[in-house]
Amino acid sequence: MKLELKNVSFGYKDILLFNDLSYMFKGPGLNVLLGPNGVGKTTLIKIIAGILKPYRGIVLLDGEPLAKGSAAYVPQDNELLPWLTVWSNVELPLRIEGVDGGERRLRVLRALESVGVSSKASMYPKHLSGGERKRVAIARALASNAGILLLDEPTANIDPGGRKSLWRILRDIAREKLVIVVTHDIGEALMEGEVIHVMAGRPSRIVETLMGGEGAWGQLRRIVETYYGG
Amino acid sequence: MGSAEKDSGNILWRLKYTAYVALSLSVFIALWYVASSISGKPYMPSPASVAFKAYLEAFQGNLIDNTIITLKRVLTALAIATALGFSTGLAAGKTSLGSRSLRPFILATYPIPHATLIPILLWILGVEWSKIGVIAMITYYPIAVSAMEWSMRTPRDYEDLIDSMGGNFMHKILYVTIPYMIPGFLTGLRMAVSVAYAIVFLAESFVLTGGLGAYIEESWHRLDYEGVYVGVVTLSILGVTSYTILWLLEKAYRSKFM
Repeated sequence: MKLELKNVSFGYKDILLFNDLSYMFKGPGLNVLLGPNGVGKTTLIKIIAGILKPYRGIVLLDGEPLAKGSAAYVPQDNELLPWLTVWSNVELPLRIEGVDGGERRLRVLRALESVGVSSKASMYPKHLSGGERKRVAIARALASNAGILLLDEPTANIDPGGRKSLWRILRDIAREKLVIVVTHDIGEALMEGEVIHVMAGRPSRIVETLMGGEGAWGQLRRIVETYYGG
Repeated sequence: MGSAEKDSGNILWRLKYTAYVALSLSVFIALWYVASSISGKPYMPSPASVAFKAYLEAFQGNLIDNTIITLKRVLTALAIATALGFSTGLAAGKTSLGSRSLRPFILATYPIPHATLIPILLWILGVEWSKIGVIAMITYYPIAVSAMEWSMRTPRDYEDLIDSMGGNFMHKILYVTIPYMIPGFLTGLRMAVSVAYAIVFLAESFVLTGGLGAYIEESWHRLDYEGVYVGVVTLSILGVTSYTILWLLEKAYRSKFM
């Protein structure tokens, strides 16, 4: 699976965030987008998700323009609709897609079970913890059959135990899907990501690609000094 | 907070609230009693004589019939105002055409003193529908403005979610905008209901064809002081009850989802 950004340009008002950005993510795998605040990490995944339209350029999946709904997006906050139960939240992309009732039920149930929240199906999001809400949002992405999963700061405001279990779930999903996680937590990115893409500059671009895991820790000091002004 | 603690907190809150309502009602009736005793005038009857009159009117007179007539007019007008206010407010808040055309129209015509249109509406809509028409016209505004403002405030994140699922404009309206704007819409409806009972009095006392407004007006002409008070109190009870029901609905919605 190849997700390609081709000559993408985008900005807000008078700030040009990306100018002719071309880059390729390869999947399946757990990719982490790392970079200082304001560098455009969230904007980049919103462009991939089809939420923001670039001024110029295109996003391709295996050489074809990426269709809407092919990349499931989990925002940092407000990841679930508060007036829908857990079940209905997970079911929503399937309803939008027009999947029939029987198949819908099966896919929702499987997705909820795969992230361990099937017992919460009838609850409303306000009664869930931060970690549970994220897992439900991931279940929604799984139910939708999207090949790409985009998550914006998924571990923000989650306790260490919840973070560990969330990364475990993401690693499992990344065996079959292309998972791109945005974070500004350098330690977490180096530790948990399989491939780390470092964003920097203005206009912003992906300046470095590293392999994650224990060995990546040696890069921590250099990354902080080079890209975070530390 | 555990659910047992939450439940006991809710019960405590309900008890406190009921106690406050009972207390303020008692203070009001006591003050009325004192005012009536001090003045000694026939136009300031005591709460007891008004209550007795209400009892007689309910069982022997036409108080209940008039109350039903008024309620029918108010509810019909509110149904019309809600259908129009909700849809135009939503269109003004969420579509570019609505924002360019309906939004300025709603905001520019809001301050017009619509009650002065009763005589003109009487020619256009006839005796019965002019009453409903003027209430609908006046209650339309708080509903439309609240629907417009709240639909404009829909959090971007929720709409982004629908976008990323490949959803269209109608999916956003159905799954995000409408559920999000319901509490704000209920606030607008609550404001509209308070106004509706004031306007129904004006409309019904303009041409007397039944209803509590006509009942008050006729009692006033007969110098039936208790009758006037019975009409006013009944209208007030209707207003307070409707307001409270909507307030509780809004509170229940907010506490369930928000």
